[in-house]
Amino acid sequence: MKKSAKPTIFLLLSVLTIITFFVLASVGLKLKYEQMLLQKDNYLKALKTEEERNTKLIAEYQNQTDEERIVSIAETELKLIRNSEPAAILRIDKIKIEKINGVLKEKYE
Amino acid sequence: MNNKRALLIIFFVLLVFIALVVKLVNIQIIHNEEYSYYAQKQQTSTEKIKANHGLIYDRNSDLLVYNRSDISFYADGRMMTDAARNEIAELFSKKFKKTKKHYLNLMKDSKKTVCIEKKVSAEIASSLQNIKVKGLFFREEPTRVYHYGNLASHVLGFLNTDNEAVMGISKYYEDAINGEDGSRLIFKNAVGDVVTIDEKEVNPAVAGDNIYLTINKSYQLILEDELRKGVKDYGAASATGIMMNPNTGEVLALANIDDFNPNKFWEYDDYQRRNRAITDTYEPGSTFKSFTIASLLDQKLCSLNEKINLENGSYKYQDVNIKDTHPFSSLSVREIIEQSSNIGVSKLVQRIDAEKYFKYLRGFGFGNTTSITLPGETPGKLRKPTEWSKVSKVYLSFGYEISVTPIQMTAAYCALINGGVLFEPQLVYKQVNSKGVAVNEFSPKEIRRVIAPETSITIRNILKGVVKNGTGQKAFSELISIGGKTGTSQKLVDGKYSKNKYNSSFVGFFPAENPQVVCLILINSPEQGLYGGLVAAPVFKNVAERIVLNDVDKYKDDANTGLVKDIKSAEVNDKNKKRSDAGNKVEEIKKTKSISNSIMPNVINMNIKDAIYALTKLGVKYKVKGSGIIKSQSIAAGKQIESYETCVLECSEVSIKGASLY
Repeated sequence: MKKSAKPTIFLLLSVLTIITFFVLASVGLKLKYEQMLLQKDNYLKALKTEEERNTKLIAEYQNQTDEERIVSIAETELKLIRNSEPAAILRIDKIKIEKINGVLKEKYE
Repeated sequence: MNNKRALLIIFFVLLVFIALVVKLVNIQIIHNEEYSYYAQKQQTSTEKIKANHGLIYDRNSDLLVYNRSDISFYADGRMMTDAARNEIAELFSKKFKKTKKHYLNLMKDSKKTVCIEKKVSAEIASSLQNIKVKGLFFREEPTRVYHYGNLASHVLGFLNTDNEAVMGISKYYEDAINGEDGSRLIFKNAVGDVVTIDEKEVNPAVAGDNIYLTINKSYQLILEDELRKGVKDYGAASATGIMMNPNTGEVLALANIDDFNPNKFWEYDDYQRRNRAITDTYEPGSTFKSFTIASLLDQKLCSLNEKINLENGSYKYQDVNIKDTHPFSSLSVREIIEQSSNIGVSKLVQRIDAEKYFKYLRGFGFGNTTSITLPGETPGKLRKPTEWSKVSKVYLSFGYEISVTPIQMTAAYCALINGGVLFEPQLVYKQVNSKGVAVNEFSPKEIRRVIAPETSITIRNILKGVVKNGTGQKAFSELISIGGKTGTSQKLVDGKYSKNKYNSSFVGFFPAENPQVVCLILINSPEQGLYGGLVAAPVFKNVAERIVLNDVDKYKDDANTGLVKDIKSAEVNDKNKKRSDAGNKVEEIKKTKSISNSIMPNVINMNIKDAIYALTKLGVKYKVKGSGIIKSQSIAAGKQIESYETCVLECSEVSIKGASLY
């Protein structure tokens, strides 16, 4: 009774197929990994650019919020007139505010 | 039969497999090193990761210097076809509004790599970076941005085209600001494009530390603005100003006019870029008298109300004729400083032993660097008593035979009026790493006690009197009490004292009772005014008043608050008036008319100071030639003065051996 070689060939081919599959998969994964590394690098570059832009905006914000600039625009473009009198200070007793709050709570709750 | 065929196939497969294994062994094991070397050389390269430079802030955390990544575009002639050149020239000419010919000319050499656009901002460059033309490539180039242009340029310094710090804080803290560059291993394909990065071989860059200066941006702006006006108004060659907190040694502002814009440093010359406040020396003249008197008072060698014979303005010591601008028969020690009498201090200084006097001057820091954290500081020159001539001590008493830097002078004045302690000028108060952790916090550094606290208080009061009653009256302010001392010294030109080039200075402090700011104003070679009291003192006054108005809360206890309100409302009213009233010009015309109606006075035989005072009062423009006594005037006495005319005053020297003294 001669033993057939088919199962051996089938086994060998199956092993080769599996190995090929794993090799191809690992190559594919490696390529994907490399691509993602490049992508990460690009994102890091973009992050750096955004950080720089952010710093630039902070500097620009300083300019925009500069008191002299605001006053100048208010006076020249908006034609506002600065009050030369000192600002009036309103003083209200803290205890009185609490009392009024209490009255309001009693009335509306 | 089947088995035979199958065995044959297996045999061949095995044979191929063995052949492959043999080849693999040959490649991987036998020639492993050789092939690895060539493969690595061909496919990989180590790329530098540039560390971000640290940022620079002022004392209120206002950002002064930051970074920007710009893009530079290059064209490699060896890789480009004519069509590619045309395409690039077309695209770039549209983007940068330059002619196509300009770019074609740049790229005409087919053997070179040329930069076709340098440091383009990332926003503009983004669309051009996507162009895929063979031979066109781009590179990221870090750029340092000095947000306020010229502001504090000498303090901040700049980076040269190779991105290396050249001067200022940038240079002194170069290692900390630069950070540490990193590296990474990259894999490239045959064309040179990056395929991937070896993550295990990445050595990340460490960003530089952020530096927080003691400089106050607003004070700096005011100082620069007023110095610029001073240079223009008095026709000066240049000016220097330093502001320090006398109680801590913190430098609040430091400016030299002319200055430069660090963003375009290549457009300026070395003189404009040099931080003259720490590198250039000058003879301080009368501002130095305060140190002489402080030494004498500290040694109890004179008393404030003691009368000194001033010889009616002319005194001969050894071979030197010493003269006073305003002759007096006698004055008290306090008045000697107020009126800045050379004869007075010359006589007084003889009471102190040379060694002791030298020790005091050294104590105030003269002849040594102040150790300010800026590169290039010079120590000035103070000779040892063994090298002094018979008259050296006398000359020194009123600020000749010594050269000082403006920073030394300011630091010394801080010690003079802060209770007698010399502080090291401090420019940085905090160093913070990129993670926001403070790695260094600097506190005021006391060097030594120079004079007793009581002496310091006495000197403070005397200097207050100088502004109230003496030569510094033009620094007097209704807004805040000021103390200070004027100084005028002839400049040394080619080893000789120049007759028409002076250094006019004023060192003052405010509030006089509780000094918070010491400020030195040094005007170099003014054409008008000449004297420190006429030129530098008004600049100081303007600086002080603007700072008080700018920082009302800080000075509210010492400033004339009523006047602050008046000035503020006057400013508002003035602006409102200007807006509604177009008749402002009428005032100017009236003013001009009043000048044209003035009659030219006779100033011949007057000293320059008195003549200038008279002409300034009349609003007459003048130019002084020479020094000493007025010998001729270009507009004759009695003639009507026209507004456009400039009166040239020619002077001749009063015979004095050595330096001319005022």
